[in-house]
Amino acid sequence: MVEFFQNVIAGLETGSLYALAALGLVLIYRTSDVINFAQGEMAMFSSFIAFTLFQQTMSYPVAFLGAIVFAVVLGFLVERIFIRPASKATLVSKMIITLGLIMIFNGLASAIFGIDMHPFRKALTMDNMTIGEVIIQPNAIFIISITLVIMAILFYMIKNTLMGIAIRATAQNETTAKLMGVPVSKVYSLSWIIATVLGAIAGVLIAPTTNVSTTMMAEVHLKSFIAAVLGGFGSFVGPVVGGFVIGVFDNLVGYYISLQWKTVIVYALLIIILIVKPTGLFGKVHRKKV
Amino acid sequence: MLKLEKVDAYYGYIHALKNVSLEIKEGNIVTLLGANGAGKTSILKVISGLLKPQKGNVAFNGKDLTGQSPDKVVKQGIIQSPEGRQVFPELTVKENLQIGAYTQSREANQSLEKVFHYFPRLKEREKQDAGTLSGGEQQMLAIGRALMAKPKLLLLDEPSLGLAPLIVKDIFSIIKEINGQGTTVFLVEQNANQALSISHYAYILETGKVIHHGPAAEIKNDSKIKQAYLGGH
Amino acid sequence: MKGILQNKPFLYILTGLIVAMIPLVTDMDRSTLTMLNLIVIYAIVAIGFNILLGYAGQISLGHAAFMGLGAYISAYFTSNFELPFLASLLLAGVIPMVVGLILGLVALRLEGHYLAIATLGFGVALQQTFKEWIGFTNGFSGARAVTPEIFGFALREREHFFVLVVIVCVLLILFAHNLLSSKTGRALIAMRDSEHAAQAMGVSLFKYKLIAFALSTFYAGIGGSLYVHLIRFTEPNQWGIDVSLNLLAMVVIGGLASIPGSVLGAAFIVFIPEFVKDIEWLQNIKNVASIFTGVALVLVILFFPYGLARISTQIKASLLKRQKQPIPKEMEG
Repeated sequence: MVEFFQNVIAGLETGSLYALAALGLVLIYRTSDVINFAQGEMAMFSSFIAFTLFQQTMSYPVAFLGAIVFAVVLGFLVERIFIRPASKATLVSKMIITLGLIMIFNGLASAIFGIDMHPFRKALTMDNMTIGEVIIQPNAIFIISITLVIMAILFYMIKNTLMGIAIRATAQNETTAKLMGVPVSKVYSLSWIIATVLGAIAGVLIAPTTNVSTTMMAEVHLKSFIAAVLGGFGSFVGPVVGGFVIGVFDNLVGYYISLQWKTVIVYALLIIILIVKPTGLFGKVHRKKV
Repeated sequence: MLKLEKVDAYYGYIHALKNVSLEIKEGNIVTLLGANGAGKTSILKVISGLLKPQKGNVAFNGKDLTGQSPDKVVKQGIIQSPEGRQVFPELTVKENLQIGAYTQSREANQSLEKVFHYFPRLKEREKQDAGTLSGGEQQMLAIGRALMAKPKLLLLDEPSLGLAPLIVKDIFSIIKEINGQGTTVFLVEQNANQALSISHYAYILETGKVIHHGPAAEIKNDSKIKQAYLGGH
Repeated sequence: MKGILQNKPFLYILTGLIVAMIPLVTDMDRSTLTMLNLIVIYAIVAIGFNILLGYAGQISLGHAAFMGLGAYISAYFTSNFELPFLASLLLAGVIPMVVGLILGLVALRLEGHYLAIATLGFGVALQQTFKEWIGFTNGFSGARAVTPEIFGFALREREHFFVLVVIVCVLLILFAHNLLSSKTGRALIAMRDSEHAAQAMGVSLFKYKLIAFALSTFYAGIGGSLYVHLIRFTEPNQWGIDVSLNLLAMVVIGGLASIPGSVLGAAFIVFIPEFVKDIEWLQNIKNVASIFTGVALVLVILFFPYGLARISTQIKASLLKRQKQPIPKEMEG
């Protein structure tokens, strides 16, 4: 039982990062109709910024905030330079652009930062606590709570503020949103910025586990897609729940079944979801925009 | 108040509007009539900034609006309630109205009262998703949503489309009331008789050209025009 | 004579013959020969991918894994069961195709983007399988492949191997060409032009997307088999997402829905690293080929959606269009 709880906590920790990344994917998909396959690479880039800043200043908050500021600029620029010029292109063309961005960012990162792996510190480095026999890392609690706080703020914003309503309106019917005076280009910029920041936070927080390297986001990236499919691309809450579920499932499979075959088994889960409930756990059928 | 001068516009290679000039006088209800595909919706798109004209210009109270983005047009006081209502189905009635007030968010509450005064039904359904409303209620919501922007000029694209005759009558009388309160209305309709009966002035469009215009009452009584262009009813 | 030259299958065969002869009559070093072989092998995979992307409008991010699967199958059966090379080549195409059919049955049933996500995961899962299923793949140490023999003739020299890959490539091009001229091809072309129109004409989108995906995995498997017998070695890291992205880039940069385009695209992508090597100021930058490919991919999508194959036609067309564009005032008169 102790092992079980231990794995659930570890699962919630990584799952919260999958949830952040998955929310970013869905936010962009719903507003600007793009599946951003480059999100992982963009997050990797932001993590390298955090790592470099930490080396320079030795201050974790500076590194963390620096990565966020970088992500704001990066998300804004990517949308402006690569996505907006293709706004009239097909979904496939836009996907191909984000796939091209994978190559560009991966290449740039190896060119600028090199291909070595760098260890990176945790946000909190205090001693572990134990409850019963379950060991709890303060850092894990920090990650889970900061994720929950971010989600809460974001969901509050989407649900209650005018900009949030505008984001949902644009997701449902872009042309009419324009007619009502919603500056949809601002909505696009904003959703790319938020999504890139979510990715960057996931990157910086996963870095102590994966080390900072050009391939650091591979796992989070794939799992965030599975989380989005599990929760449903048509919902904002679904992918978050999906992220936590995948995180826990992943850890339990790794512990009780096989560490080597974990990825394959979690992938099998994706296939099962696609067979059983293709719109995801929380899926409404995604309404096609007119 | 609003003037279109010699506007030419294209949809891809389709020449949708040919040398269209028209004027909407302040305080009036002006109707634009014509068959499907005559270019009525294109004119609204040009005014709203969704379609950039190749030639010609659009002026509002003497200000040039040609090619402005839709949000700038709304800020000037022109808003469109699009064809087919286009309410946001997964937003609540109230959220739909809030979006209408996007450019006027400071005075949203005041406008909300006014809209609920015109359409008490909307107040009852305030918290419901707009997708669950009936067709008539959705049309009320679409007009109400546009009113939230406190427009000086309200553009209505086929508000009677697909509605039962009784509801159509209601909608038209509310349009008249809105106009009575000082909002200029530009009405695009296929339902010629009813539209003309509440309008001051009318334009008739055919294959992208204005082929006739005059006071609504005259057009209504001109049997030749009616026979030729308005289906002879 | 003119009639024959307009006959596309004849042109493909003639071009193939000429190309296959080049290394035999000229004196090329081994690395150039390897590169030529690789171009043709990737062209095979790209042609299959193009049926999927160019006609069915679907993206696969797992084609490297399908290629790898073909490679391991061929290496395994020729080494461990002494299966004749041609038989294992066929097997290396058929097994990935069956796997592709099953995956397609699941992911293509749904509208939109699910194939891309499903194959992204499939690629990672299959690559992981290559790493862990040591009995079949020999894990990280890699698997060796034998020199292919055809009717007792060992293809030890790369010139000879090149003749083989060109023959396979021409056969598969002819197959693709015939397919696209058949009823299935007309359905695929209708789908490329407009999914909605095709659906209205009664084309089952699901069925033809599935056919396109299965074929593309067959081509990938064949390419993988040829690859492993050329290089005689394979290991799991060769079949990652980077290769899938390169395959995608070949198809897009070369030209969607164009067979010659895929060959051009394959050549382009194989040449980039070679080309970059010779530019001094770029030499010190790691992974510059990947940046270059990514930029080319984005530029092609934004400005030349028909790719290299039709760049000149497109430029001509856009010039003509400009002249033809009606000047509104004159139209009025």
